[in-house]
Amino acid sequence: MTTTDHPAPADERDLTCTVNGAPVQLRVPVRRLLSDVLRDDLDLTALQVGCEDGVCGACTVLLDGEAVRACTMLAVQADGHDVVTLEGLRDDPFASEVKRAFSQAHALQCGFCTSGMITTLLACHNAGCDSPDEALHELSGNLCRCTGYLNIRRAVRGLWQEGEDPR
Amino acid sequence: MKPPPFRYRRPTELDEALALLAEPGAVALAGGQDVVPQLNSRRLRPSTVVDLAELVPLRGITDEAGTVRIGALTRHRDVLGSPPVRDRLGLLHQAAGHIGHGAIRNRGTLGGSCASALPGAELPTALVALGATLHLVSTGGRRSVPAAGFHGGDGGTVLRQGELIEAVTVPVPPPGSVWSFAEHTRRGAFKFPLVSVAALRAPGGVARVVVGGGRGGPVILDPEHRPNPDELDELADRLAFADQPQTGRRHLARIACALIEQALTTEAP
Repeated sequence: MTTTDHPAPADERDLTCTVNGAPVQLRVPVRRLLSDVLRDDLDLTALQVGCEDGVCGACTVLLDGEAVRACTMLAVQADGHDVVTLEGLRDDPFASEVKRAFSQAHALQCGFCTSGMITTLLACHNAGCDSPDEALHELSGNLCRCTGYLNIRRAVRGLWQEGEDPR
Repeated sequence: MKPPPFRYRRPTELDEALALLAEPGAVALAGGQDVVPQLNSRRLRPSTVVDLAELVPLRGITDEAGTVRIGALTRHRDVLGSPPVRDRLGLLHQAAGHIGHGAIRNRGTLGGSCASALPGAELPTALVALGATLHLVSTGGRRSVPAAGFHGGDGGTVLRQGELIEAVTVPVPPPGSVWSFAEHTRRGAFKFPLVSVAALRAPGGVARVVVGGGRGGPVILDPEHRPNPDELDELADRLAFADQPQTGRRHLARIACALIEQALTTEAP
């Protein structure tokens, strides 16, 4: 493991990217995480910061259309990229379907994990996932501490199986 | 927690990156799926983080005669979606499909997976079974090491300070080869494999069985000496398994026996 007893002075860098379709230009400390820039600098608080270890999935956002953990990216790594959070998905038809299915199946309680679940499922759907088992496997990277998962699984099965009532 | 202070550089040329990495306390940042959590928890306190994102020549897959060359910065997602890997390196394709979930595969890289050398990681186990070669580069020049000799003791590798994995070349197994990959994880897609097993058999040959999960990197098992479930201590020694929270080394060895059995009875294609 590489360590140093002489921490570098605060290093900053320009970050230019698009967030939810709008151009963003910010000066950020290089050690600042993407999750913190989105939540604290840009006030996009749908994503949650759970573990900061890449384990819980609550901070999942879309980077160039693909699911990534905002807590395992330095904000400067998003330079030149396109970031979409749940706030940018208000008009997305599949995201709306996921919200409806989650609501109907009571697939959330406190809602902390829900934003990350929706972005994960949307990325999965956009990547051409065509079976509930595949979607559930992807979703096993997202933790929920309220529901015991049964209702989440029911919602996902309903989303991927035509005609099944998610309730 | 949040990362400690560090300098950040994003070089566009390999030479520049290598010069930066040669400085004491510099670390390379590829997909960040291991490095950023280590920064967050401050297990890693580098003087400089050298982001490799703009080193385009280290990315991509080339289908060469008898060999597939994979740039170290190639993401797991791109390994998985690559026609040459799917068609000619079925074992690597199968192993890459087991890696974490989408968010990890979208960021994590082949070189990063090898360099972080986490016990049980899918790709190193598959690369040892396939007889791959890792190509390393530093300001001092280039050298190549076989995947089987890349891992050093106690979770380390032979990488020296300032040395970077540039690419991995994987020989294409002869036509008619069969393979299998199996792993055991604690939790679905996310949790890292405790044990991974890759098996590869050329037509008319004996299967090469490789087991990952021990502290010394993936181990090639002697084909004449199949593991015996009644000798778990001996197997745990051979595989350098260490006790883990909730999972003792004898239990890991029992899992390895089951996975080896599974790998040898479910050969693809």
